[in-house]
Amino acid sequence: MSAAARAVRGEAADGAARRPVALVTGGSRGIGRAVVVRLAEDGHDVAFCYRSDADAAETTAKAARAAGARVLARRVDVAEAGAAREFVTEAVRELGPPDAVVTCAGITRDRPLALMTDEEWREVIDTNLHGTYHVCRAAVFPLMKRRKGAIVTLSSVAGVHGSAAQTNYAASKAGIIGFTRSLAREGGKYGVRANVVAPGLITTDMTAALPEAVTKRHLEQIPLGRAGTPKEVADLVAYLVSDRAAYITGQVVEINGGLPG
Amino acid sequence: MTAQPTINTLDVEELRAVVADALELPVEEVTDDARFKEDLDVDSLISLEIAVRIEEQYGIRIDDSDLADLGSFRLISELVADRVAGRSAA
Repeated sequence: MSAAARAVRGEAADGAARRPVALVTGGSRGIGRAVVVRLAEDGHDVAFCYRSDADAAETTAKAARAAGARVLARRVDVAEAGAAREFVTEAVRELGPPDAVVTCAGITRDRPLALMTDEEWREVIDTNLHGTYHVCRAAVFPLMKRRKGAIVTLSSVAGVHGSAAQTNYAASKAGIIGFTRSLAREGGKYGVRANVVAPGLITTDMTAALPEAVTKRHLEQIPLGRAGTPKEVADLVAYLVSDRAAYITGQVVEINGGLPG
Repeated sequence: MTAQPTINTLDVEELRAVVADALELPVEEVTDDARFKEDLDVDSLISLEIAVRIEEQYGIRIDDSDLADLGSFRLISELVADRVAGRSAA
């Protein structure tokens, strides 16, 4: 490849190694934070976005910097296409083209379908499914141009198996699965892999909001008898974006303590 | 007066060979105005492949907003000529 072509790709003219770059959405808390920190520990520079909690985002950024990463943290609502695109553009400009994209941004608005409001439905689809689309749409061409890269989208066991009072959430997470499997087919020719991680019960702020009785019922169904941790999910994500997973694409990997479908 | 960069400032046949290779078609079929999708029955994903190869060959930047403009050899050659001239002027 010519020096000019390398420059177009944001690579050093002499082809010298650079730190890989990861883009992570929903990075301020929970699974997203664990992913940011883990990828930083693995040697990535990380650009992450968050929607609301600036203090939590700063905590995440500090941890990632302590691991030696260059960090770009931006407040972005991924449901807004323009904002998501701007985030990706700035990340590419500041850190270089991405090697990995991990979409963790997600919300819940749980309610039985008979009681669900249109707003609750739309909010969840907008953030979880449209947000995933917006960020991947903006990032995929830079990945393809480098003929290498990994995308990991966060779904949920709800998206695989369904979940009562979560039709909106499950629909968004099931949509992410179809989206990602299709993206894997498009990207394969360009060395771009795309996989889904579908966590079960994980100890995060999101699951802490569940009623105690619901959590207890879930735990009784989990063969390993406990909830998972964000770090355990981040370890799986780190594996999937690494070259160790170079032959894995288009897969849905559940991490759920053995929860039966 | 500086001459405007045109398609003629490129080695057009070299570019045609790059595009034909990406399209997996004989170079003779890649005429200036054959539309890839309608006339040559080429998959829409091919514009990605063309963009990637052109970047590698010429060291120019093709954005995803350009992909819709890669529908024929003439459109491609005009875009590449423009970008190559822009790079030289930078």
